[in-house]
Amino acid sequence: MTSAGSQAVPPRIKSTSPLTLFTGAVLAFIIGCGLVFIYFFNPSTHGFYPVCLFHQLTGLNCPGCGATRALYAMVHGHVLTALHDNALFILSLAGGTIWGAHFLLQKRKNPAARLHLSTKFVWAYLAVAILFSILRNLPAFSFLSP
Amino acid sequence: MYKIVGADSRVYGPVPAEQIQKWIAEGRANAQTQTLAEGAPAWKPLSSLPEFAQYFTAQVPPIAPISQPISPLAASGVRKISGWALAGLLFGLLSILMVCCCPCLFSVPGLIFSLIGLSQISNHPHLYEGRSMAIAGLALSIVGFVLGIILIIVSLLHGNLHYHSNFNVFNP
Repeated sequence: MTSAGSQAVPPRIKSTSPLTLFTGAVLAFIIGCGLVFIYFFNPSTHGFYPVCLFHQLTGLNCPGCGATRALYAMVHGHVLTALHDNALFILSLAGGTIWGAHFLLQKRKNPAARLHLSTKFVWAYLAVAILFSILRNLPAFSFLSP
Repeated sequence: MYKIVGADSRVYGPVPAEQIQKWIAEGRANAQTQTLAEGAPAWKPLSSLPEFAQYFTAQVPPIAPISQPISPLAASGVRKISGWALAGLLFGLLSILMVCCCPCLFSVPGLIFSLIGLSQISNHPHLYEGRSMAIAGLALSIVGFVLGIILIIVSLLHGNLHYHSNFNVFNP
C-alpha cells in the first residue's frame, strides 16, 4: 500500500463495477432488439419462430405454448389477448420485472444487497406451471390455451 | 487523527475526524473503509469505530442471524449468495419450462452454473451460501436435459408424423 500524502483526497467509491454496468447494457440491448423484432414480425403469420416439438408430436399445449404470440400481443398493448395466449408467461414476466425492479431499488439503498431466489419459491412455481399445463389442455379450461 | 485506505487502495491521511465525516458525506469513505486511528494497534472498518458508527446506522443492514455456522469464520460475517448457484437455479427452472420449445438449450448452462456454484460454496463455506439453490438447479437441469433428449429422440423417430387437429383428443 502506498501513501497518497496528507493533502490528497481519496476518490469516490463506485457502487457498481464497470463489468456489471456492461453486462446490464448488453442484456438490455439484446432484450430491446428482441422486443423490436417481435413487434414487426407476427408469430401467427411468420414461420421462422421455433416450433414446439411437444405440440407437434402430441397436439397438446406445453406450458410455453403461445408465449411468442403472447409477447407479440403484449408489445402491441393487447393485454387481454396476451393473457389468453399464455397467462403463465405474462404473469411470470410481470413478476420477474417487479422482482428485478425491487432488487435494483434495494441495491441503491444498500450496495451490498444480493439477488436472492428461494428454493421453496422455485418448487411452488414449478407446481403452478405443471398445474397450468394440465388445466390448459382440459376442455373446461380451454380459455388458458392460445 | 485518522488514516484511511481509499478505493484506490492507497493510504490517505492522517486527517482529523471532521475531514473523515466530510469524506463519508461525499461517498469517498464508507462503513467498510479500513481505518487506522492514531495510536490504535490495527486497521479496522470505519463503522467499527464508535465515533463514526452513527453515520452508518441507517445504511448498514442488520446482520442476519446465521442458524448453523459452518466454520467459526462464518459467525463473524454475512455470507454472500453464490451468483453461480442463483444462475444455475434460474437456468434449471428455464430448462424444465422451455423443454418443449428449446430442448436441452438451458440444461447445459444450468448444469455448468450449478456445478460451479456448488464447488464455490464447498470451497469457501464461510464466504458463500446457496447450497440448496445449486442442488435444486442441478436437479432441474438434469431432469430438463433428460426430458429434452427423450423429446428429441421421439421427434426424430416420428419425424413424418406431423400434428393435425384430430390427433388432439382433448381439444378437437
